[in-house]
Amino acid sequence: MDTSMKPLSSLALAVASMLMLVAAATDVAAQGTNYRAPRTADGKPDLQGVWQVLNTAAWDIQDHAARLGVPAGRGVVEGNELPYQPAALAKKNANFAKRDALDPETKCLLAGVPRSTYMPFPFQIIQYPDYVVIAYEYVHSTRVIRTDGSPHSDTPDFWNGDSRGRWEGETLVVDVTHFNDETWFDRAGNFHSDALHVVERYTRTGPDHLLYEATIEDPKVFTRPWKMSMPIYRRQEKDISLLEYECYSYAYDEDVQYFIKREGQ
Amino acid sequence: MSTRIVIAAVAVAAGLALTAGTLRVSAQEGGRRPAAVAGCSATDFARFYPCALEKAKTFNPPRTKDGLPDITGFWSRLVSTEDIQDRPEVVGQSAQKSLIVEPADGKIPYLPWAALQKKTNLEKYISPTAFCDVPGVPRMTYNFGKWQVLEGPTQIVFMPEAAGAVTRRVIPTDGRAHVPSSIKLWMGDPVGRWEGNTLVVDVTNLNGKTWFDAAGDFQTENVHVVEHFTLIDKDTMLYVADVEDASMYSRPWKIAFPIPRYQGDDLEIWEIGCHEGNRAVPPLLKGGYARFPGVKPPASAR
Repeated sequence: MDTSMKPLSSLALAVASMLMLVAAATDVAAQGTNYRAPRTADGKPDLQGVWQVLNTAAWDIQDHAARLGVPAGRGVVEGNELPYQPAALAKKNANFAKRDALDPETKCLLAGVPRSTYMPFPFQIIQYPDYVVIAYEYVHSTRVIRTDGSPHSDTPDFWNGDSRGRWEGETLVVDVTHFNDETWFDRAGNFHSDALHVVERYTRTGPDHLLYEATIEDPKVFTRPWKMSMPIYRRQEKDISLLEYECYSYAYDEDVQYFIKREGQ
Repeated sequence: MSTRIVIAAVAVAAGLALTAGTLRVSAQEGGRRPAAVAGCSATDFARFYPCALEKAKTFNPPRTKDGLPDITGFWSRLVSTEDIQDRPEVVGQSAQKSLIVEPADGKIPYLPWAALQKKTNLEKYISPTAFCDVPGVPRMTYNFGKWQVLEGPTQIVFMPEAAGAVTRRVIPTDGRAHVPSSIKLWMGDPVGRWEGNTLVVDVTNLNGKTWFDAAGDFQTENVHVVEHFTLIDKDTMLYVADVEDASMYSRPWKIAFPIPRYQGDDLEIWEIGCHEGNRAVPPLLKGGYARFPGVKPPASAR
């Protein structure tokens, strides 16, 4: 490179800067598992900060063309197809047809896991020696995840499930069970049952990127486990902090009968 | 306390079909209260406050590895949220003395227009928490049976568990400034700092839609709350909130009460969906209650 710099200086510089741009844009893929994250005081990979996705998975986790109010997008599902059982596929299609009325998120309900991750709102990760806190801007939803080896307890079902974390090298692995059957994966009607089991993996792939992977298992709905993955970006704004999205409070502010009228649909 | 409010409170309690199977109530709730905590009165807050200040002068709190006073752990509730002023016994709750330690009469120093508004609130509106709106500040601190504090060098997380909206707070202690004043927030914008052994949380940007209690005691969006959390022994915090809003109060006023450490062995915070299980709204609306819209002070008071 150094011998060719002189004669081709301007072109080489242009190419080099283009390559740097490409490298920056593909930070996630390029650095992959080779990246070693800075460490917290207790020696764990430091995932802390305010993060947000830049994708359209909240509307549809699969490849989709644009439709009114929905940007087109490549899916986040490995292989794109979801392995629905036949009856479940029929239900998904029915959900899609009535998505504006049926999607729990349009009723301001908790978004569940993994959907909370790719809602169009920032979230903050805060680490402590025995806990990882994930604080979402959407309705103050919060997961306090123990990482001290405590097992899933004999708990009832939760909207966001019961999360237990552990560290595997560079990765925070969160095992999530005890879901109810009331949340969806997206606005497109992709759904699960109360047998849902999610294993999330959070891995730093660069100074400002996380790789998020979630393996989904639900023997009542799918024929086999499937996986989604996406990069998550650090919010770069100076003084970034979570604000609020008190969804149902705003709905009541608009019309105190808001949810009563919805139920009448 | 009007009968209507009591009926409404019962309706709300019955209407909340909680999504977590168990709602564990701390031993301090339901009327069985200790007479004293940390050697100070736990029932007469005007006596508790000076006593707690004396304790705070000599108590050397445990430290985090960052050298800060350690308020990590699970905390419980000693006071109830029906009325922060003197109130008689109500269903399921013994009488409670005013949480207001300044002014000395224990009353909120309302300007005349605000005193009238409080009456209107009682007649017309139901506590905003009936809609699962977040309780705001300072109500968050006495609204929950159990809450967890996680403490780091640059931020503190408060995570409550109870039959209310999720009111997790992430309080930065890294010296940052408040968000711009036009951004109003249901939980306000907290900016924390350590002053000696006390966590001081300066709260602005509140939206004026939350109440202090279920008795119509309200705020405007001009309110400024400064909270103080101080350990007075290893299992007790002194909580103080200074409230000022010249557009509705004739002077600043002060709440103080003890926060005892949670004594149960179920040391996890579980999700309880409030809006998700809220069946209370239709009966309340049928009963003639409206939603508190927030109020602006009259021009003369601004």
